[in-house]
Amino acid sequence: MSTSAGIVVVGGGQAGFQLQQALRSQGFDGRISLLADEPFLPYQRPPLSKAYLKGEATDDDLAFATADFYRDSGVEIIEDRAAAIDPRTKTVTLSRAGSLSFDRLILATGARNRRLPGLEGVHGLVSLRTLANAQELRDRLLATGDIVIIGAGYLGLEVASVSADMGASVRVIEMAPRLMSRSASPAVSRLFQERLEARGVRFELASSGVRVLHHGGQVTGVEWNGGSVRTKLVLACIGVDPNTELARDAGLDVANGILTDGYLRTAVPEIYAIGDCAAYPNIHFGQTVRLESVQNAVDQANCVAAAIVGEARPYASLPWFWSEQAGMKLQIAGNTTGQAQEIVVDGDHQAGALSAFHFRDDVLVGVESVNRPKDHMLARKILRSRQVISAAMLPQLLAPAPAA
Amino acid sequence: MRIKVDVEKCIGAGQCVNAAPAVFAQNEDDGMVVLLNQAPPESMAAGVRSAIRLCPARAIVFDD
Ligand SMILES: Cc1cc2nc3c(=O)[nH]c(=O)nc-3n(C[C@H](O)[C@H](O)[C@H](O)COP(=O)(O)OP(=O)(O)OC[C@H]3O[C@@H](n4cnc5c(N)ncnc54)[C@H](O)[C@@H]3O)c2cc1C
Ligand code: SF4
Repeated sequence: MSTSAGIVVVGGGQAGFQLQQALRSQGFDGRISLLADEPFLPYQRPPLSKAYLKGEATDDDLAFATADFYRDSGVEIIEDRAAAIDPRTKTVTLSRAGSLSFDRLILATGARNRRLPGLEGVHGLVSLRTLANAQELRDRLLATGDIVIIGAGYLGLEVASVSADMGASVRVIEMAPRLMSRSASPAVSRLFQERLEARGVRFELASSGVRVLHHGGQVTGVEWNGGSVRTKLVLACIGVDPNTELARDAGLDVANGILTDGYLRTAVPEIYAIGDCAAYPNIHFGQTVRLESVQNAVDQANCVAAAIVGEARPYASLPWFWSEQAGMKLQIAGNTTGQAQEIVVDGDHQAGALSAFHFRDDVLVGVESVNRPKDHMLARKILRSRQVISAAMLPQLLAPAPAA
Repeated sequence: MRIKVDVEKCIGAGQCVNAAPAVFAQNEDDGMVVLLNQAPPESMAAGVRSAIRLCPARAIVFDD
């Protein structure tokens, strides 16, 4: 397909990067402009809480591609923000100067971390989303050797794990009574808690009234109902909000995400939304969801690129996710977010290898696997093909295949 | 160039297979990366470099 104005992608994260790459590899030879507002070439976020924090990866290692790559594939990277979109004239106004017209516009604006209110500008209170954040976190952690993390979700726990391995004193404060309570089963929460505690992480679970203390513009400690601790470094991992303002101001529908149809199109058919910013009808979950994962960003970008080159198909990829903590690999396929009516755990808690199978109305809907990649792959195959598996069928499924 | 993979780190994303299908494959059973060629020729270097950068688990490294 050859067009005059071309494709404009807003956001140079996982989804925006993948979109331009998929367009080129699918033979699109028109103009592509990628608006990237961070002071780095597009880079990976997952290592920020893992290898990068450990010091095993440099800033440069994180980039998806070097500057030559974009030049060679004829993709223009514009280091600026999109300030406004006019769907009628199909133009994007840039923040610093100028505007771009588009045939198709892809919103891949991602999400931003929620902040604790009333603490702007306090030194030692940090957040982790961007490479700049990770640089600050690592520098402060090396300087203080001590960190308090608010929130025991994946992100907070990955940082807790790495920080403890670096020899820091680590405390995690969480409102819920267990780790990763939003999407992990109790068995998986328990296993990770034990393994993290064994590495020196201390937990304050079911803590309410959490308050960051500061003096003279510097964090001095954290207080909660029932306890307090002194610290100079606090990391808030309390969730994200999708970047939807640009879409909302352009008159597009937003509600915890930029709303799209099953093809990831907004109400303006030339404008798509993908990645962490998009809320779309998910066929596997049977509802509108907004997911935050590499898989979701990559597969949605591939789906939209295919539509642009003329092979539109509804987005139907199976969600999957991974996390790395306490030397263990957690892989999740499908839906494990609490709506299952029955959870069957198979494996060996002592050995740190188990899977939790989530059933709803006696149909398998999601699987969490800790150090059991075979179960994860099997789950991906079953769930992707929408095979109906009941709890009674599980033992047979898990039995080792007879030797050929 | 010589490369190696760390199956412990791999999470079965398959990005490497897309970037350099002659060098990487995924195990049918567990999705883990399989290195088809430890010393890929110069003609495949661009794809391999791209696989190293795209792997979200940082499971592929130069072996020197
Ligand atoms: C520390 C960390 C660890 C993670 N670990 C994992 C993991 O182990 N597994 C996993 O599956 N996922 C993980 N994730 C989640 C994953 O990285 C995200 O789901 C993914 O990055 C989403 O990609 P995206 O392109 O939608 O958004 P983003 O990567 O957030 O990119 C959006 C980009 O758009 C830019 N932008 C926003 N508005 C504008 C504008 N108006 N103009 C121009 N640019 C704009 C933003 O600055 C940003 O650069 C992790 C995330 C973090 C932060
Ligand atoms: S890209 Fe990385 S994580 Fe994905 S299959 Fe290849 S080696 Fe494994």
